[in-house]
Amino acid sequence: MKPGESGESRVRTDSPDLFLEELEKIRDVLPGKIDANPKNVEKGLAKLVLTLVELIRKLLEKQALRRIDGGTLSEEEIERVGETLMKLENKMEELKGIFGLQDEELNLNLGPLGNLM
Amino acid sequence: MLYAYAVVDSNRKIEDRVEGIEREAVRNIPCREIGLAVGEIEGTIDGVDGSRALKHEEVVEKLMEKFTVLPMRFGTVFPAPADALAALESGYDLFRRNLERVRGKAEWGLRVIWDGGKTRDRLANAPGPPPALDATSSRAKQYLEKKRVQRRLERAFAEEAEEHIARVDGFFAGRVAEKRLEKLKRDKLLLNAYYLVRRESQSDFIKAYQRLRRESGDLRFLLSGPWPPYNFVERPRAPARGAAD
Repeated sequence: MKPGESGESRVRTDSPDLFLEELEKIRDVLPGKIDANPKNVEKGLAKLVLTLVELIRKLLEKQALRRIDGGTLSEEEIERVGETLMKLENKMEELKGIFGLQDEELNLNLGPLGNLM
Repeated sequence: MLYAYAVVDSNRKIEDRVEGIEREAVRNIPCREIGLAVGEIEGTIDGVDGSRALKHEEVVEKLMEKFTVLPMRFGTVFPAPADALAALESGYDLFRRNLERVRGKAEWGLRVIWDGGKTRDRLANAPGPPPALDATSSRAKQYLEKKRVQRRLERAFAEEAEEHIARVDGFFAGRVAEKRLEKLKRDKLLLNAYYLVRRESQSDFIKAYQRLRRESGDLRFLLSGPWPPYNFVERPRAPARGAAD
């Protein structure tokens, strides 16, 4: 069977609206190329930078929680790391607000490797 | 300017008239045993345009009736035939390898939606282990304890998704030559799968899909195909200026 040979529709689903909605959302979040329009370039760069900062923040958080679970942090260190991560998260929220970015926009499509986060 | 549609497994002339995105005749630029199907266009390609993208797809499918093809990305252009030839030469071994890989096969896409929100709610309401930190003592510890709970939920959510995905994918075991699974691109979109299926196995593949649907009342499916093997082509590094996928 070659493309279009069967004469049947090549898309089979009983929930077209549901899929249309989800696929539209993916398309919006992961554009195929960088939008270099001068009006959007600032937001595009902010998105890229904040995505990387968010990745690092999550890695730090993961590492901190592992060390807490492993019992290798003192009470004082736990306080300090908690305070730092909390401030970092608040700052990220502030920056996302300034550039009008949503959580789900802070991601990168790495092709066959999937999404960064 | 030359607009590229596909690498084909032939260095012969394209006998039947195939019209491209500007109604131009599509021709083959030969390079040793393979070729690049191109059309001479006047305009430029600025981003993805729906009707042109459909036309691109139509051309690739027409070519697929006669040849094994490696579809090019929409918007791939070369300034002159010499540039196209240079790209074919530099990626020749890769193109040959890929043509063998997809010969006699077509791509099918399967998308699966589940009720991710309901799953999250159920997991959040399930009893968990006791807190590791005394969350009453400080804001920092409250914050870290909240993160621990979130992380546990995320892990449980991903594990449950993985179980569903393995079950869905299991229906196609032995019926596909290759696959690419994109998991949980969004909470609701459980799976975005691409399967490379041998032509003679396509009816078995469709039967497996029908059985999957019958036996998975809580999931929603979208199956599409057969398509040219867009998701099973390894691309050489920067062969030309491509506008977009």
